[in-house]
Amino acid sequence: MIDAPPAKRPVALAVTLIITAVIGFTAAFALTVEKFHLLIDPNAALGCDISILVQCKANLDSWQGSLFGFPNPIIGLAGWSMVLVVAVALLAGAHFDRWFWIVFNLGVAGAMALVIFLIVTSIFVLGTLCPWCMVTWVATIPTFLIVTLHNLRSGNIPLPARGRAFASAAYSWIPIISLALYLAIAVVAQLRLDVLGNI
Amino acid sequence: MSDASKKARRDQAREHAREMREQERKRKVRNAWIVRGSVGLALIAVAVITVLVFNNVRQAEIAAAVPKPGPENMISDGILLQGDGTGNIVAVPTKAIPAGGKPTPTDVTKHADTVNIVTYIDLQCPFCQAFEQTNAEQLGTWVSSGAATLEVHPISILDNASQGTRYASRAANAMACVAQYDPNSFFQASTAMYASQPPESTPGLTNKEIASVIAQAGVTNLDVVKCINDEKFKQWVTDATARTSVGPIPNSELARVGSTPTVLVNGYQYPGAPDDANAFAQFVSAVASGSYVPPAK
Repeated sequence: MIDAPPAKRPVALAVTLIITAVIGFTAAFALTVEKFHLLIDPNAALGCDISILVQCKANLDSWQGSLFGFPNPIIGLAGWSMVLVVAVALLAGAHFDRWFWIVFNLGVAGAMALVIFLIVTSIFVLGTLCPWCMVTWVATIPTFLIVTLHNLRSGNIPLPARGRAFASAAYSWIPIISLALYLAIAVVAQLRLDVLGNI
Repeated sequence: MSDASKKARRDQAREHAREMREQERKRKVRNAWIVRGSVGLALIAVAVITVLVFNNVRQAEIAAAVPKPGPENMISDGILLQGDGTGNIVAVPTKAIPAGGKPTPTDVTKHADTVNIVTYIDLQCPFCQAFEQTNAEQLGTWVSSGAATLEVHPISILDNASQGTRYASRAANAMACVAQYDPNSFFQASTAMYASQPPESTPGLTNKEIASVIAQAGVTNLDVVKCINDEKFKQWVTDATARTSVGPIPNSELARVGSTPTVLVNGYQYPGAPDDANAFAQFVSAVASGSYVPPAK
């Protein structure tokens, strides 16, 4: 993806989105199934419950785990399916109008906002690290970055030339920006929950 | 010079230029990846160093903590309650665990003619609350009548459940304060604390609120209030909890306390539901009569 000028067929974008969508969908699917287990037997020992610190039961049972009145992973099942379809269509040479890109960007921005809320909740309120939830965080961050920066650099979201140039430069730094964000979350979690001392 | 050789030279020059451009492009791509890789490694290094520094600070704080004695009347890490012969529940007075010292387990041979019940509890734990609220009445009756002793070990494993306020540890500290300054009110104070148990994933009660809950249970000793506010037995709570998770658990076959409540009757772990008073009464009488057969390992 480095040095590639905004091509007609954004292969890097499409491939990245296919990878994150598959990972995100897998996590949402696993969490949905674990939620079913919990509904059948509220005391069920879940595959992802490793310790008091590393578990998903507390997250699934919390009100934040069903923010809109139904379990969050259902949003993931639908959302990641859409990302996957868009990504595969891009790979196949599909062209989308500007309004489509903007709506798509709003969608991933919503996902990012939800994930930020859930990260803060998990680390600061529930005091847990839920494995499949963390997989969702890992998938959502680069998805948001790459869609947003793609729209900024290609002018789908209007921006002065300098802003576009910046977005274009930042685009090739997405893996590093994502890594920086992962590390920031890991450090905050370690300082707040002493993960290494509690495993 | 023929046109053909001119054309060949021109093609050669073109080809050469193309190769140069290609090499230049490859070099740029390689450099770009080297820059990004270096930045990535630097970020990882910064993160690791940050964590190491904070961990060292944390460990230095622990190491620098001057050892303090544990609470009085809890030399076994638990407070032993028994009947006083006139229908009251009283604590067996003991010294404190000396600073930097180890607990001395209760000598059960001195209590051979009573059923000896030991509980390991966390005041933040809903199942502990269920056990207490289901069984407090019959426990109180057995202990005050002299049929049983009750040894309560407050520990703290649910500090993560109070939005960072460490309610479980502060509550365990409060019970240690009561044990030291007003031991004969421990049973009532414990009941009051369970009645006011905050739900998990809330900030829990403040120290002031804990002191007020305990005061309403009849503990009006000002030393207790100060002890709760200062978290006087913070270190003991940490140490006593660590001892239960490492084990072994004295006067039992139990390797360690894996969850709360852990309830032992003459050393046998109660396997039943915490909220089933009949099941617990049957278990106690089976153990007391010697008819209880522990499950094969």
